[in-house]
Amino acid sequence: MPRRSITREHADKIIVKLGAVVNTSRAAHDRAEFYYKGLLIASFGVRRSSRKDIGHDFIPADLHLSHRQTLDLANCPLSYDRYVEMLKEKGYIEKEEEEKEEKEDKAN
Amino acid sequence: MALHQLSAIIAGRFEQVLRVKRLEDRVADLAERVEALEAIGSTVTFFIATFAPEPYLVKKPLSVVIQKNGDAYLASFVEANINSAGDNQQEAYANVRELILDVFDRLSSLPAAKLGPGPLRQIAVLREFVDAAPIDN
Repeated sequence: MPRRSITREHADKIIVKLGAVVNTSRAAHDRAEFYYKGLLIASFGVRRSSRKDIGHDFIPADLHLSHRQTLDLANCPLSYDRYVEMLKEKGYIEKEEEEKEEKEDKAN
Repeated sequence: MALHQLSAIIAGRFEQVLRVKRLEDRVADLAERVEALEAIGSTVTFFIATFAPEPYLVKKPLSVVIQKNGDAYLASFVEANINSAGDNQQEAYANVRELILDVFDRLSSLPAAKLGPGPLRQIAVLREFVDAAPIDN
């Protein structure tokens, strides 16, 4: 079965879900930036087109997710909180002091 | 019909169903492998040696990997994790080339304290490859 493509429609849903800031640019894209607690964490291009099905299969790499997880982020099964948690696990968001201490306590 | 005949027919049918299932699995496996091979065969690498006419210097050539993905093409500057797409190879290349400069400008304009680990790494990598051209007076 062919893999389902990530489209402009999915990109728009992800922008809303993450509260990403969209910046226009010189390119054939705009750029969506995801901030967490004031820090820029990830960004991805959004292709300018009237076609809602235009391909955005490059987004998983930008968001540090798999293809499947990116579709889940757009379509709801993957929540904002869980995504943040995943980025913390992967080191793209630094864990806060409390979380570090909690982890150390559990380890001891 | 004797019971043993009926049982043989059922066993035969069951064997057929199993064979079809095994064939289906094998076809799915082969389809995946063909897809993977097609992706490898359609991967090309281009090098950006200049950003002209944009006012940027290339310190060392940037490699852009372009790969067929369904009806589109994905283009990536893998070292800095900058990715784009296009309807053909040229468009994908042009899009990622422009995006590299956009990301460079954007991340250069933000103080390091505003950048998370990913963007910090991106700008560090980009500075190894790209520089803004000095403005002639």
